[in-house]
Amino acid sequence: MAHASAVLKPLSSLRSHGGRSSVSGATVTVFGGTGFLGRYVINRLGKMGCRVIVPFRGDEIMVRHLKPMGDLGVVNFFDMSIREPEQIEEAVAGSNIVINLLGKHFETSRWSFQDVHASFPAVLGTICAEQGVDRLVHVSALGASASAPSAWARSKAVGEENVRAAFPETTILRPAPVFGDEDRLLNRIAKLSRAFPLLPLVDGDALQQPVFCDDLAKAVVEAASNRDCAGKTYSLCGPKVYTNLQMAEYVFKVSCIDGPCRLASSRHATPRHATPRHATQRRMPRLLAAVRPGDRRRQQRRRLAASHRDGVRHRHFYPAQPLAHARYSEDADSGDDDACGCTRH
Amino acid sequence: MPADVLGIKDLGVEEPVNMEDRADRYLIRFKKPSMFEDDKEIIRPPQ
Repeated sequence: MAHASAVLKPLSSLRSHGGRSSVSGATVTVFGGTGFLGRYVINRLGKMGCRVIVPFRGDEIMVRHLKPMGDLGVVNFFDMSIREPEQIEEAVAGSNIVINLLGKHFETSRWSFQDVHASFPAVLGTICAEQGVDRLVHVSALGASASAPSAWARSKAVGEENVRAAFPETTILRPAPVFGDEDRLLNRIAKLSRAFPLLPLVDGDALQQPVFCDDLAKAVVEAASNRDCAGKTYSLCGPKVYTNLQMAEYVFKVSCIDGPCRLASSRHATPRHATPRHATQRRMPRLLAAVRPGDRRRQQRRRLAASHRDGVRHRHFYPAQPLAHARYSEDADSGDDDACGCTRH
Repeated sequence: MPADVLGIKDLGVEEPVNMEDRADRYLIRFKKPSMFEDDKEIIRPPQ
């Protein structure tokens, strides 16, 4: 009980905005803090003067942008693996708030949806209950359903059940697709549109209600600091509903790409998360080659492949491009060779 | 979204940001460069 009284004050002080140099007294562990949403959540926690612990795997270069989000010593990093319960315990120890933002959009040989979305929340909930953590916020996804056709959505639903069973007071947030500077929603459309002559749009009539990343971060912090949110599930959406086609057209409009003629919509295509990423990537070049066989980018790919033959990068010389300033030196060349003043001549 | 479900407004976000109001600020980096013409000579063609 002594532990519960000790955390009452920090949670209430989370509502203050003392600034990055203030000390709220709360310690928050943010799993998945190195991701897209994590930086916005940690930024808000840093503004409130919370001590933040960011467990991460991989290289330290992936977390360095989080360091200035709090005062000196406020944002702490902990190199760990979620496969090791002892390391999870160590990351959670001393924290009164735990936020789980971990999620994957595609499976790898080492990490399956089951590992990240379903098994880890169960372990985390159990450890939080053992450690006496006051608040646990689990960020899932809006499409999470046990009957969903996507393995990704099914694993999210299993994760929700697991974490609620292990820690009943967990607040579950189910955000819609998130947009923001580093998003995978609009940036992906824009990147594909620039790189390829058409956009393979899966199910253009599907509805989405994207939510802004900073709004979502604000909601996460509110859910973490408000005891009334305990045990509840929130669906977090933006103010307006779009179809996939409308979103693609919006991106085309902003980036001045020619309109709907580039869209290739398919109602019967495979759902987004049901196909391994590499399979989509494997089909993409064939699809593009069939559409524009004489495309300049295709020739560039061939040249690149030729330059990497035998697994060794061979030096490839391209014909010299005319320099812009050479056009202005034509008059000078007729009279004096050195009049251009350029070292290339 | 059904009306009886708890939403983002219940977590203190009274006016969520609309996508069209914010996304153009960062999507502008994908904008294709416009044509550059100098003295009736096209230096950079439209892309």
